[in-house]
Amino acid sequence: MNKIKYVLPALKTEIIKMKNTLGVWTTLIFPFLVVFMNFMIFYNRPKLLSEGGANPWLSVTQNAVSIYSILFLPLYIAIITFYINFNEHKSNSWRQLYTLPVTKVNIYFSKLFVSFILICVSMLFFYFANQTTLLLLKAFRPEIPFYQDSYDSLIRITFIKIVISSIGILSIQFLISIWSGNFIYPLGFGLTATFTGIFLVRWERMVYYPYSYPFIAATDLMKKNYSFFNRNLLLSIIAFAVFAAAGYYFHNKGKVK
Amino acid sequence: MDYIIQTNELDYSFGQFKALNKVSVKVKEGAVYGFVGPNGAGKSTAIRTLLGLYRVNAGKVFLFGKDIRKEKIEILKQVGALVETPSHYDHLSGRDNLRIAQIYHGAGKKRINDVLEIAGLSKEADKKVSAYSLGMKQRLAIAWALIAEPRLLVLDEPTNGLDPYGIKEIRELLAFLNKESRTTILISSHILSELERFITDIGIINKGELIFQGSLPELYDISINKLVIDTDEAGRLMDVLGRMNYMPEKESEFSVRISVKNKGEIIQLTRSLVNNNVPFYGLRNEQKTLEEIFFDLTNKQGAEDEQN
Repeated sequence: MNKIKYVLPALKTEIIKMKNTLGVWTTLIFPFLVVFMNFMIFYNRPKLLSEGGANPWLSVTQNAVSIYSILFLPLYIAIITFYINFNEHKSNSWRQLYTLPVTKVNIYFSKLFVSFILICVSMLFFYFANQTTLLLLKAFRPEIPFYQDSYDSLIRITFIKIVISSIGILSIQFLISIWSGNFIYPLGFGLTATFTGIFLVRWERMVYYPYSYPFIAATDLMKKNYSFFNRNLLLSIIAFAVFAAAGYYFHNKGKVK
Repeated sequence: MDYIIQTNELDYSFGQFKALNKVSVKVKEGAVYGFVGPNGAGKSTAIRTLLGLYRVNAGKVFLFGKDIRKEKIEILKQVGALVETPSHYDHLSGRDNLRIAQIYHGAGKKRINDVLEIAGLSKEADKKVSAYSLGMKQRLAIAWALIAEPRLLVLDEPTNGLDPYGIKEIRELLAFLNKESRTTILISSHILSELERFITDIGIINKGELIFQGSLPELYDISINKLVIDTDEAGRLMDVLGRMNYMPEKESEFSVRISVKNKGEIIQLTRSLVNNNVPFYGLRNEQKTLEEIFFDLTNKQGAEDEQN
């Protein structure tokens, strides 16, 4: 209980430390970039949605979340987890931090939690930006058949599933970032793992590859799968628990330089 | 006596290298304790064990009478620390950096302005730390350490890399804090002449061993000093001193210099000269500087190690 008392201060300070960093900007830039490109594609080629009987609400969203979940989201996680730990590595401030009345467990999990909050903020922004795109297309491209069911609750559930299925990646990237202050390791690994995920996209065993989990969650949109809990989410939660615990173990055992 | 800091025979090793060997530090409340030693002597390691950053192989650390391993958080609430080079978040302003320490210590927001003023950084508070000079960064580090209005300040080489003007500023700031707030200060440095001016107690560490600990007068008392005796009969004085097993050096026609170990010996010598009817009209104690004493002690330990 005593340790929990220090969670809020730890969270507040982590948020302060993220000020003026590229990590914070990518929270908004990545979703905006994807949504903007998506809008430009369908604005210029409305026929893609008006022919073949596709539901435009789902097709536009599916197009955005697919590319975001397989490429941008894993990279975004690699960037923010890097920044949240790089702040300490760069200024060599781990030891200064541990001369304050705070425990290692609080520091570790508050950093992890702030990373998760940033993912949520990013996905929330992505959701609203995507909804705006849909409304703009509806307003400016009347030939697109937006009169069909908007599947709003399915879209919302899918976004939540993407967030939860990303926590496996979060814990892996976090472990590497807290272990090494050299940007090559976390960003290099994140990049490699993300591209590997793209190559594995058609492989049936990708269900065991954490960097594919957000994409698998995104495919539930077109399958019109409303069910919340599935194997994908469970595996992501297990991966999170394993790698977060391992990361804390190594961080706790490590010597403060 | 209750000590603010008390360690019992601390041992700490980096692999095969023994960095601390049975180090027992004792710091009284209100003291300014200078922790001195050459580079690599174990000062920083000892300070890190005091703050619970390193887990010792043997021995215990008590701060305010509490075991650092058992009550670390409670202890650190009353401690301000600077561990070697100042570590700040360069992308944040000085004020934001202090906000981090303020939040953890649960201090009021007003305290940030107070410590900025104490450290003389009020005008630069909202500039990014990356634009600060080294002196400003050191002062910000001290401001950080002062946020909690600590009972104890632990500062590892706080004047490192500063010019003489910067060193003077830090020294005056610490002397002020000790005097006004009765803050106990443990400060490590290898710039001995700087410490001599304001410390009350001293611990000398060399090769991981604490080779002296006590007040400054105690240190001067045990150290070998030179005594100059003024006389009109230098030749006779040298004969008498020779018979007393001294090795006198003739400084001039009217003065002779000898080595003495402590104040007690000077009193004894004065009696002997009077009893031997040697006329003398002056006794001058040539006090060694802290630096000279330090080199005497560390060289002595080096010679003893070689013999062993």
